[in-house]
Amino acid sequence: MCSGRVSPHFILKAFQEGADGVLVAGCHIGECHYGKGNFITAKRVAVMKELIQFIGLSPKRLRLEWIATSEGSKLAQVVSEFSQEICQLGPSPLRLKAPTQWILPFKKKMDSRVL
Amino acid sequence: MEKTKAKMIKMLEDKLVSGILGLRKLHGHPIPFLFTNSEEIGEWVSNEETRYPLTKILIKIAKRYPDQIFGIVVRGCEERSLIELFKNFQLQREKVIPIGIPCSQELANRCRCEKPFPTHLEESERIAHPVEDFSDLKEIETLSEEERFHYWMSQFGKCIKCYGCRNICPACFCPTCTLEDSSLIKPGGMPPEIPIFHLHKAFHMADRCIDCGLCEEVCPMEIPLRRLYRKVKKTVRDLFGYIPGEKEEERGPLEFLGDGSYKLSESGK
Amino acid sequence: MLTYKTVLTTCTYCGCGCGLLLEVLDGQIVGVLPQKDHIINEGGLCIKGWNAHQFIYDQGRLKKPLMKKNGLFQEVSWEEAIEEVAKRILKIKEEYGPDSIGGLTSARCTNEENYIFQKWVRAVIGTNNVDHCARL
Repeated sequence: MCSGRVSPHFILKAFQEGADGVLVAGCHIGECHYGKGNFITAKRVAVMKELIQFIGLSPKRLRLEWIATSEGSKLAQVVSEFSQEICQLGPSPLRLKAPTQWILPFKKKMDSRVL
Repeated sequence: MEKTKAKMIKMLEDKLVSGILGLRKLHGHPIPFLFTNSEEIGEWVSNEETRYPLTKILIKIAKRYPDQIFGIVVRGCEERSLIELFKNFQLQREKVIPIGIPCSQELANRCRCEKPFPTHLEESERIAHPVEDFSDLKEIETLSEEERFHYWMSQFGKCIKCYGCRNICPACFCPTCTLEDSSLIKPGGMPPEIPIFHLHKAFHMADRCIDCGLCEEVCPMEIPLRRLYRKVKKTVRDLFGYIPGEKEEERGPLEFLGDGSYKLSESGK
Repeated sequence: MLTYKTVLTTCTYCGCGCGLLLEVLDGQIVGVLPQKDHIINEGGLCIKGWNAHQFIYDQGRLKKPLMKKNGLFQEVSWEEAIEEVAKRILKIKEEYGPDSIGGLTSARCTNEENYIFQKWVRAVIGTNNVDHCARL
């Protein structure tokens, strides 16, 4: 399996279901078993980070790492670092309210049409 | 617009094309129509207030008549959409002849258009100046993270899931849409799963959005969709140096794996 | 003959009356576009409006009256169907009284059709039980 298979739609679905952080790990550049799969992952995650920052989710919640199959200790270190960072950031703001609670009452809706 | 009309009449009389797609004034309303006769060109109008996705209509007609050549009246944004559709094999380059018309400065200011004129024009006067104005994005970027989230969620909370933004977008042509996939987005429920309902579309057309603004005009709840899509377009431009609709030979960066031209940071952070 | 045109019309679904354009390619309706300069919807449509053309060529539409004979629906003529319905309504009216019958009409009918229907229910059947699908 290649990290190029990770569709950006999966990352978004993970955030919607309540994930506080998403870590995408792939082979080092130049070592992809399929040739260039990790190039597209890098491009996708770069665009996705800007997008979620624009929406109001911290870009630190999405991380991309190159970890080779034999680098077990690096994987352990990265995972514990990432978990600590997420603990400090706190729960994802998507978990605070259900989607139906974002429907404002009618009057506020009319006022919020003007930014 | 006399020169443009004369060109269209000549194209129909010389049988260069089987029909020209443009707007016709009927009962005082400009609506899309396929002109097949040179006498009908007298009813042609180029109204700026009413813009329709003519390139999307052309895909339907060309699918039924793949061997015939059609003309289409295009503004700057529609020409960009034609180039994107050629790149994605939805239309054939040899079967479409574009006829360019310019936009007025008012329209260019309203649309914040960076290229409000197509490459080939008949009328050479009154060409508008390009407008580069990202103040709508800066307004959002000055807010704090929490305020931004609150703003976007309350705007997305207005969504009634009419699929208007997808139906009218000239860059949306997939036969099976991600937004209708039940495993990615739960069906039913009002509002739909926000914010990913709009983020799915924003990412899917990241390197195809031509910034025509039809999506925001068609939204019945007036959600500021254009700000989101312009941000993605700006990101793709800043990171990869790619602008959709410019050159026909250039492929979108998210379509192919990699040619090493994008500079990657060490750990991929 | 290659023809493509759009037809100005109004959406039939709810009471708003949004302006629609029906796309007609070679005499067949293939799609819907919102009318940009309409005073009511100003270029927007709801999901029912965007799919207002899909019921036209649907396979499930009835084309002829059907009557159940021997457990299966069979096509019959209009005269036979109307006679059977009239016979049975009269029988129910004699047996159970006129108030056991109710009439339900539709927002998709014209005003004149709705007027005839309620007049028929009130004068011919003799009951007040008549209503309209938009009230549900």
